[in-house]
Amino acid sequence: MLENLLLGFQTALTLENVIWCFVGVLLGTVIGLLPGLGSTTGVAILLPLTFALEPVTALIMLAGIYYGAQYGGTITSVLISTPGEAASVVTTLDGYQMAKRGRAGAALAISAIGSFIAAIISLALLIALAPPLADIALNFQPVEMFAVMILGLLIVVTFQGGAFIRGALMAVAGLLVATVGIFPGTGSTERFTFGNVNLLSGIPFVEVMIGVFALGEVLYQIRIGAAEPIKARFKDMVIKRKDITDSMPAILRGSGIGFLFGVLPGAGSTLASFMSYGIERRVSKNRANFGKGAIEGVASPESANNAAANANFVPTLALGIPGGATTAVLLGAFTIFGLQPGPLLFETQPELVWGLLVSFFIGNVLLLVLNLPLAPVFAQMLRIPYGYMYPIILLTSLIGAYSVSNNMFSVWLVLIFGVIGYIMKELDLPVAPFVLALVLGPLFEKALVQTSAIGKGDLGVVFDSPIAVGVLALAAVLVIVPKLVGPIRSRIAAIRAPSEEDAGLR
Amino acid sequence: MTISPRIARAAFSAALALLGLAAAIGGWGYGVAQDNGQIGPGFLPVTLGILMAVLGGIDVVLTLLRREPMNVIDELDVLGTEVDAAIDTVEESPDIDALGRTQRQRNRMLATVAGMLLVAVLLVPVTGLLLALGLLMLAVAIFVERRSIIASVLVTAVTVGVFHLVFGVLLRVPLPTGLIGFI
Repeated sequence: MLENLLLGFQTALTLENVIWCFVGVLLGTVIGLLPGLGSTTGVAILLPLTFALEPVTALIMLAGIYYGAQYGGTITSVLISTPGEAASVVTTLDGYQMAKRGRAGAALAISAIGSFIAAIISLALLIALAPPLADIALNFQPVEMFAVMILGLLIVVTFQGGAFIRGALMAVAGLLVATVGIFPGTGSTERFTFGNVNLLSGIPFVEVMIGVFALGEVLYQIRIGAAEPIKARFKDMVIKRKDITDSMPAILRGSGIGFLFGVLPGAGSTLASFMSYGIERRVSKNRANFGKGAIEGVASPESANNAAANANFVPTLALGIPGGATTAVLLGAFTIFGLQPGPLLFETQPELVWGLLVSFFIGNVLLLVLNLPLAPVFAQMLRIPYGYMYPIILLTSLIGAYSVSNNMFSVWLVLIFGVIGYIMKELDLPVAPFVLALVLGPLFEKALVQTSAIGKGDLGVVFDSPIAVGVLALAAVLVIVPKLVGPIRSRIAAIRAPSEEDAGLR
Repeated sequence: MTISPRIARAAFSAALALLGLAAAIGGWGYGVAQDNGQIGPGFLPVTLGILMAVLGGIDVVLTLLRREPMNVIDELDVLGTEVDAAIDTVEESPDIDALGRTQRQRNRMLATVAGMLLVAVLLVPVTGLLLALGLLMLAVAIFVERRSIIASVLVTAVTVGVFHLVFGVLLRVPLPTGLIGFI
């Protein structure tokens, strides 16, 4: 372990990698705070810029954008009640109330401190957990991988925050899109290519992501209209010692909850932040002030989303299954650089894996240093009207997409999926299940083909593996339990209500 | 005439259901099983196509009956409502945006930008990628965002220059230069 960490520090602490890590977290902070841009969009459109870099440097920078955006998203949530990142949505509840009471500085400072502590805790857990998980996963046969992928898909459908049917519909649509191209079982049968050679290798998901997240969002924002340019004022950045001590339990709980949700393939930092806020509101000593500017209401979700962002790398690196939408794009980056994320990566590319993991630590130190004194400076970015930004986003998206494959076909794909992404946003359809299913699709089908080969055509062979059965049972529990909890809770509430009324009458 | 979101959503789900059916039929043609009994190229398209048709159909019925399926986690629902309420407190009227544009004007802007995008991509074989997208940027700035011509030309020239330097010179991406063959 120590040897690996040392190797990681040697890799991450070169001047070039530290500079690119800094560029990544800086860009991530800016991307996170600009409404209409998020970490997924940011990583997707900036991916082509990293092609000239060494793989480890490129991944360090792209990962920096990812967790930098978690910090940036908070600034807008606190100052203008408009989250720049989905994972910061719940921070608007107490963060904005604190800002209205002249405590924006304290809110931003505690979120930076909380995020830093959460990042360090989750990083330690990530370093401790990912390698053993990868070791276990090395023994996974296609049957077990097939079960793990079903688990990932079910988690994203169940926890995407909307209706189950629509989530499932989007996931199935994503898997179906992924069937375009040559069938992996025979290596020769073309499916849904309509004679187009560009489709032989399937629909590339980086272009799909640029379309859905960047172009789709631009079109949606144009229709939504311009928001008032922001005049963020900052009186002081002083945070009291009491604020930090009061928030510490919330930070620690948020870190734990965030890590737990982040580790699950398919769940993400948004869910982690919501769950952490919900739990904190029940257990906190200061729960009466939640929604009115409780500092714990900022500390908890902010810690959770950062812990989850790091934990997302556990399934991504150890299993090759992305933890969320942004790690799905990062997975694409790995493959573009000729790397296959998964259990073997720890053995074949230790320098890259440990360099990347250690860079999270360096990146979070940089973010803390940047965010504590410079949050007011970043806040000035909010004055830029969206009308100036979206033409540049359009250019970056289309040229970026072209440079992924040096082919105009990529540009057309971005246009098509941009329109689809716009429709999905307009109709409030969940994007995450679609994207994750698209990424998992080829891996899912490969595992399915191999499972079928092992069982000589009988897919029931899955039930011969205790691990696969355990994973599928966990998937079933995750789907069924939330469905049971709601009705049971409302029935209990219904039973309690009349008895409380009776008590009141007496 | 405006289409209600409910009808639009039902129409989209219906379209997905039909697409699922088409995929299942197409997939059947590829063969669901191979000669050795293992799954064939059509297995996944047929399975997913049928699943998509069924899920799409259920969603159409639920949407039209206005019976929203239960949210998986009630907690998130409640929080979501609270967040919406918090965000609403700082939002402008939904019809007029901060620049005084009505919803109708914004819809027209959206259609214009989408049309310009299509024209720009169609122009690439003639002008090249950078020039076509530069023209798109200029047209959006002048005609959609109503910026001054001089400022728009300057910003566009600088942006195209930076993109040429980064992608064309630094990353050596062979950007298509079209018939004009300029950049």
